[in-house]
Amino acid sequence: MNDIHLAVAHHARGAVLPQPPATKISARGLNFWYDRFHAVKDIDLDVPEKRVTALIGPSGCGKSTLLRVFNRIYALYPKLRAEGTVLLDGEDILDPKYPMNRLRGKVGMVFQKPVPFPMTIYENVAYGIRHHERLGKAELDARVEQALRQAALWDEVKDKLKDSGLGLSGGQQQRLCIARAIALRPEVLLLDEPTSALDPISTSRIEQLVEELKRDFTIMIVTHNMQQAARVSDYTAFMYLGDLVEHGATEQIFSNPVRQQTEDYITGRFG
Amino acid sequence: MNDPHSHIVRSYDQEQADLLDELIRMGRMSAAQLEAALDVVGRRDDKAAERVIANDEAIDALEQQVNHDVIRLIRRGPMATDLRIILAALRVASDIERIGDYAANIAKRSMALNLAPPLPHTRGLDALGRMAARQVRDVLDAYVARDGEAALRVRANDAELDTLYTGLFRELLTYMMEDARAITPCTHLLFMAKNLERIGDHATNIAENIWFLVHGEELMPPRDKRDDTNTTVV
Amino acid sequence: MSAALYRRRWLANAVAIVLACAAALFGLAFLGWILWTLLAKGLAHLTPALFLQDQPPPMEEGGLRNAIVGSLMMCGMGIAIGTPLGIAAGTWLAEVGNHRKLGTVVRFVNDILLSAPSIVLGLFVYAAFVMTTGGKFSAVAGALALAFIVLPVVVRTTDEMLRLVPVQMREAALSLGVPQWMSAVPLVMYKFAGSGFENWEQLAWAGALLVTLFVLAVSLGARALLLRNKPAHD
Repeated sequence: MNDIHLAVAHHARGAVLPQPPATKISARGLNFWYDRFHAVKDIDLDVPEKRVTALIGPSGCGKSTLLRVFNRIYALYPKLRAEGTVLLDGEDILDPKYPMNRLRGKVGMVFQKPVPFPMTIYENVAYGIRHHERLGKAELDARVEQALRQAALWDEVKDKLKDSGLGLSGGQQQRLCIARAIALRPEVLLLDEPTSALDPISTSRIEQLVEELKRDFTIMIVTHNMQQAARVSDYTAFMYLGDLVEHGATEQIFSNPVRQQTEDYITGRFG
Repeated sequence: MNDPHSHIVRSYDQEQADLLDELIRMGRMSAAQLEAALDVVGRRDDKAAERVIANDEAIDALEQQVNHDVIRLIRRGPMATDLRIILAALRVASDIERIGDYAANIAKRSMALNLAPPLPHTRGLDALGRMAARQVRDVLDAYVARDGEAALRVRANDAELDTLYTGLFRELLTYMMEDARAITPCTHLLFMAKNLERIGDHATNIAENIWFLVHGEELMPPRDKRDDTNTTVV
Repeated sequence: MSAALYRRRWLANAVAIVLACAAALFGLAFLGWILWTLLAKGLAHLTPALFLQDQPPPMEEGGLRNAIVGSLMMCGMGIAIGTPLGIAAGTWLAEVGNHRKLGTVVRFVNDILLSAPSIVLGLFVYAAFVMTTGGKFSAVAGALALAFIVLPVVVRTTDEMLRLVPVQMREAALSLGVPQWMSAVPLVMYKFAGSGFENWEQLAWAGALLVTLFVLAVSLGARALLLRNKPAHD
């Protein structure tokens, strides 16, 4: 049941709002620099638990950058740095003392281009599990199957687990990448434009998957497709040139946004 | 160069402008139909009445056109204001078409009315009609201007229209009780009055749609209704 | 495009192909000549005795067993020393040194080492190791020299191959919690051991590595022979 719809309906009748969901991730005063370029400017954002939050905005607005702060993948590159606090379940993940291993186990990521590893389908999914846990073969098999089922891929690959992951179609590859990420049982899933490289049917399949996954995971999705954000998300944040212009319930943002900039962007009036 | 608040895809703006044009034309035609129907009642002119009835076709055709254009615009995946523009257009077109229908009905009934000698109550009907016509014109102006406040005023004025209607209703009932020969023409008049009252309601509907267009799903301030005919006893 | 232009280009293309083939044939001719001479003169002496008997004093019959065994030992040791170090250094360069000044310096030094003549490296080992430990030649000394020769090749190749792993794949591995130094290495290994080669560029690198190591082994084996036959200094 979508409590956002309930909330809007109640509000329209002047009733009291139902209890909003708990906050999973809370960013305060978040700034990000690519060397000297100030890409994300002083952002305060709450990401609610077990809901889909969409980040939208024109190219270069910082939405992907913001997403990648949440699992500190920018640590791979030297001249990138973040300042501020990002609380995941109350703990600051930007604190250097926060163990990376725990972060990676809690937060999974799926990228824009489907990048399965050049291994078998089974290995692709088992790869991450092996790095975190020592499991017997039967247990590992079960975990791999569960992940593939959750990613709605099991039926299509159960007979070819030993085939290379690269032999799948684009949409299947992306679902494999999703299976790979959720095999670790993270609590948060970050999706960086997951369907922009896919055809419409694969896109719909992945959107369906997101709706199923949000029962168990907190999901953040960056998308430049506004219709997708409107379809899939419960909350939306609109960014422009590094600033968080507006954020709130998707219903509200897409039917009656507060800021003119937001309205211009979502109705295609942005120059 | 585009002004910063027009769509990047120019045909989008063009299609919205065309839609608005169609609605304005429809609206003006309906208002004109209503005024013509009232004239026809006053002049007791059957030929003119037939012309009014025939003109209603044009309004219906325009409504079809509006429906078609709305479907085309929906395919663009409208959001926020654009979505409200299109939804409002669809509903307003329907209301305007009904107003046109009622006007044609009034013209039609006037032909039946002409079979009987003239009644004083047609003056009361005329007053009711002029007020309804005023409402229709006002609400159309508010729609073009996207003026929420004007829409609220139209909605509020409906109370007066209802009061007038209730009064006329009572008068007609009284007259019918006094003189049995007047029952037939008065019944026609009752129906015509009812039509006018319905026209007022449709004008109110349009006003509500204007509010929706401008303010989204925000609630309108409360108002009172004055149609007491269901409790009117003479 | 115009017929004249097309014809001119076709002609230029044909000339280039002819010249390229001629150059290739020229090179191959010499290789062929060497191979032919080798086979013609040497085939007769390819007997089992070659592998079963030790090197005899001059003018007597014998084999090359000790030379072969010795070369294998030295090559084995040299590769065993150089390869792990090389892979470690190459990994560091690709993962960490990629973004740092130190990495540029290390790469530069590595390239110098790579292009140093092997005799220079041999002399260096001679001076630093052989002379300072009593002046006796040994397999270990030879192995060290070989290690110095193998090392820069492995570093370079490892570095290049790791940097070939697309950054998205590396990020994907990283986001699964794989530590950074490991994020690319297994992917590279899998790339070659796994099903099919992604593209021929990587196959070429693999081939180059193998061929290099093979040629090294052979040529160094030959040099090792020479070193062993040089009379010891005092």
